[in-house]
Amino acid sequence: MKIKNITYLFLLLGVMLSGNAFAQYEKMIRVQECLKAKDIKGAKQAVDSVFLSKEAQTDAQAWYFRSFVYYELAKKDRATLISPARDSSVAYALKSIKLATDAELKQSCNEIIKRHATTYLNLRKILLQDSLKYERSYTAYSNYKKLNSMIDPNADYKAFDIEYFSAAGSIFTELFSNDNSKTEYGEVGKVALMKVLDLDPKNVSASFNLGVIYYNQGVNLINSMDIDTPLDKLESIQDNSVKLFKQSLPFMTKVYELDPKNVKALESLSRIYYALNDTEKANEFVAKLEQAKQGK
Amino acid sequence: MICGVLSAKITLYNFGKYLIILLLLTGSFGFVQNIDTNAKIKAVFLYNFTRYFEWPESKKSGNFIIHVVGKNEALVKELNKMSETKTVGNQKLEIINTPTYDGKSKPHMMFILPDAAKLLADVTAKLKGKGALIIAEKDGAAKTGAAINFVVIENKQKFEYSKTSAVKAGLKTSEDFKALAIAVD
Repeated sequence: MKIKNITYLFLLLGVMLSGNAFAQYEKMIRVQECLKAKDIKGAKQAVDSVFLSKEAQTDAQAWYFRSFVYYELAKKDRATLISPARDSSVAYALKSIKLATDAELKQSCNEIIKRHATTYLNLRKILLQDSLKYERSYTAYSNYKKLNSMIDPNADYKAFDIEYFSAAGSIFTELFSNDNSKTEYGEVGKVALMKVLDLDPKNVSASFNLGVIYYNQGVNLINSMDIDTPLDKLESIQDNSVKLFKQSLPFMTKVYELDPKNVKALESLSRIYYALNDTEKANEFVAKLEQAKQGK
Repeated sequence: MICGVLSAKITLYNFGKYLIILLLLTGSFGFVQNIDTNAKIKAVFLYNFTRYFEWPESKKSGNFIIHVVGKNEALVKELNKMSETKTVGNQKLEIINTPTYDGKSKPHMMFILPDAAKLLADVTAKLKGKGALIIAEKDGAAKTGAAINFVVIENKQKFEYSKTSAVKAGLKTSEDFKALAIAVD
């Protein structure tokens, strides 16, 4: 049933209710009036009062209306990850689906759930791109998948996970590359890119960006030390930076193996080997870089 | 119609399309920093060396000269940066960089870079007993005139130390320093 006229549904509900049907019908009319007047709080009070009646507890239509009213209520939370109204709306829609025998009613409940999923999808973007809050963005994306799976249990998210984590990884790698004092960005980038490689071990972009992050972290350690750093401390800084350069190496080597003419990878490998004091290998990649630039 | 708002559809296809656009907008590659880490490490070593040696009285006034022979722009840049803020005791740091050594400068430290390594014997002869700490970066240099020779061990920069060469140059040093180095004598 594609819901086009809520009045029809209210009338239908009126017919379906028994016992104190008339009182319940009046309350539902009140809900409708409040919604028309954009008095969402009033609609909430009215629809909640319907559930004081025992009959409403097992009424799929009533649960659908309650879900819809809470959906309207949750609109004010569009920019908020946590919304009790949104959670209630989803719970009521699920309750309705469980009780419903009518396929069209179930479809209407699914539509409400889809709308909430859309909200999470939008939040995922805002939190990642505008606010740079990866954890919260990831929660929003997870919530999207959870809701979407309620209405499409067979949905396969692998390709979309790869794209999402690649986007997150790229954003944070670039931020870290532009300002290496923001080490937290490097860490977020690593987590996201590792997830990409878990899903797609041959992902060139993720491997490259992971190589970049580890290398830049190593460079950071050296670049940020004072010129009068004592020799014992210098030894430990070298230990840690070498560790990071060595962590960078397999990722960049993988890019090179997958794409031997990748100029950025060749240039990066020459720098990594140079940082590792392996001049011979560094020069080898400088030569390969020159060849690649000449199209050989 | 109140429920008309429910007609919006989201599909995985749209979601994927959106993310591809996002990727294109953000760019998929970061970049490695173009910073010569080895130059910075060497500069830190050189500044540390000033703490562990005592130069002859005749060299305790005027500028503290570090002469670099050979080509390493990144290192010279680091040293010049260092000279802007650091001193050795009361002495200001002065950095000289030349492709060869004509014997005119009276350096406290003489760093012979790998591309000028063949000059080691000549430079050592010219600076013999003149209170210059000769530093090189070539296999075996600590046994052929240099007091300090940079080496790479397990991907890290370390240094060999020849106390004999340092003493011959007229420098005093401590046993603490020997403990930090790879002693060759």
